[in-house]
Amino acid sequence: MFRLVRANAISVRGLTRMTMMSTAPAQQPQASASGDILRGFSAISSRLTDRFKDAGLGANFDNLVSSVKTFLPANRDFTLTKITESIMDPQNASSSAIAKTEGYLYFDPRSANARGTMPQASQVRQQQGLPGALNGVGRGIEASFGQKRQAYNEAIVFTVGGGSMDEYGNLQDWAKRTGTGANASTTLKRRVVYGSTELVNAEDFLSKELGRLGGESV
Amino acid sequence: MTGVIPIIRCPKQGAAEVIAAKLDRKLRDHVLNSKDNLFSGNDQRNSSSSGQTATRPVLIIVDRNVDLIPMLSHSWTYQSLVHDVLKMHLNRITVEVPVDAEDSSKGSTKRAYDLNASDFFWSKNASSPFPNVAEDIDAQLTKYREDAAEVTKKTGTSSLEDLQNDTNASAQHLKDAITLLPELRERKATLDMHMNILSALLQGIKDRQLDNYYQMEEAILKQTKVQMLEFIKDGTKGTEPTDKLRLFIIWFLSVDQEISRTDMDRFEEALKEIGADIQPLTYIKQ
Repeated sequence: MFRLVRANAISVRGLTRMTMMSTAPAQQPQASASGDILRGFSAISSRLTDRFKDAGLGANFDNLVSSVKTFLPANRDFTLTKITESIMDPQNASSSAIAKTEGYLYFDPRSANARGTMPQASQVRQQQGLPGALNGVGRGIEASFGQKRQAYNEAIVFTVGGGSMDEYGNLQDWAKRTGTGANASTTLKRRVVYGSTELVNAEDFLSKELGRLGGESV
Repeated sequence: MTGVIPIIRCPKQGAAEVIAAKLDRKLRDHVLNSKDNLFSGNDQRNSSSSGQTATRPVLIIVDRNVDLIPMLSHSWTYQSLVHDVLKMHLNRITVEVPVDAEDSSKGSTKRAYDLNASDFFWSKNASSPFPNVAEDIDAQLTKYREDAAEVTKKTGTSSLEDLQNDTNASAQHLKDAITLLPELRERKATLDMHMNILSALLQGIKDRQLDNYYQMEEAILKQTKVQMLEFIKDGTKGTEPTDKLRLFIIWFLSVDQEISRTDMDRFEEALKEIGADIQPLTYIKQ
């Protein structure tokens, strides 16, 4: 029912670049790490190559090892991770990320104010960002100044139209990195639950979602 | 996490907003209409305390369109590789396992595995990069062998005299062994399974040359039009045309430069030639 929907107003490419917040991969000192990896590979190679020798794989194994050893996943947050950070931890998020999510709607099912409908006029007024006009305007669903700066320890992140393992891992990495350990004085524990309409691998996403959408737009 | 009504944030317009508004209404109705609702326990406690906002979770709903790249990128973590190469579906994968590890001529059988949080190796390594997983499987196998040897040493007797000398101690060791054995056997089964999975992954990485793609995507902004076209046409870059299509889409979505109509046609032509289904591009290039 909720598959990936067509972006009507704007091209996919434009949208991606608009929301893209991934920065260039931070170059980390990887000297010691690559040593570890080599060790890991020589260890597994002794075991796995034995198994592969019969399959005729053994000869190529060293090539694979040497081509693989040089890279570790760069410590880079995906767009969705940045979105999550800007909402959960606005104080430490980059201003560009906050600018992207500032316009996000705010629903509070427990409050009588932040209800899901509002007249067009007040929406426009609130978009202009006057702090005085923001708070207390009845039934508003734009986030007020305070609501935008509110921090959370727990989040449920849900993507409509498909989720990816990679994105899930990236979110969890961020939660782990910024939760505990990053700052010893805080005992803050961040919890992020990731959900989606469907977890699809790239091949299925291409053929079933994008392919279908491509077929529709002909 | 549960038991507290979340605050919902979502971008304006699109499916995410529709879902958020519906969920908002549903939650309101639920709290209003049922006295003993899902949130009655924790929620009241929290609303009475002053720091209530800090303890409420936030539900962030977004449309997939905010970022398509993670759906297509090649990744280097265990869980991503399993998902991509072994087509994990609902935590289940199918792996080809050789019938006889010593003799490949006997062919292979398909075996289905479930990967879940109760698997100690999976929960520890799912998010680790592939080489680290390879290192850990070796460490775990060594540890298993040591533990198993320890049990054997304690209970193993070479002659009847050994038993007669110290009957009580032997009985105790045997008892220990009996309690340890199920754990050891289970651990061995788990490690064997991951060994099979890692072998299948390695084969997949090699066939599809996934390390190449991963490396390209890490530095996607540095790739030029010419390099991309050459890569697509290069017959030595793996067996799977969709990998090239994925790489191209990621590049197309990431780079800033204008791609002219003629350039696009050239790319499509090249992708078609290698046997990729370019239907998804119609949507991407809109």
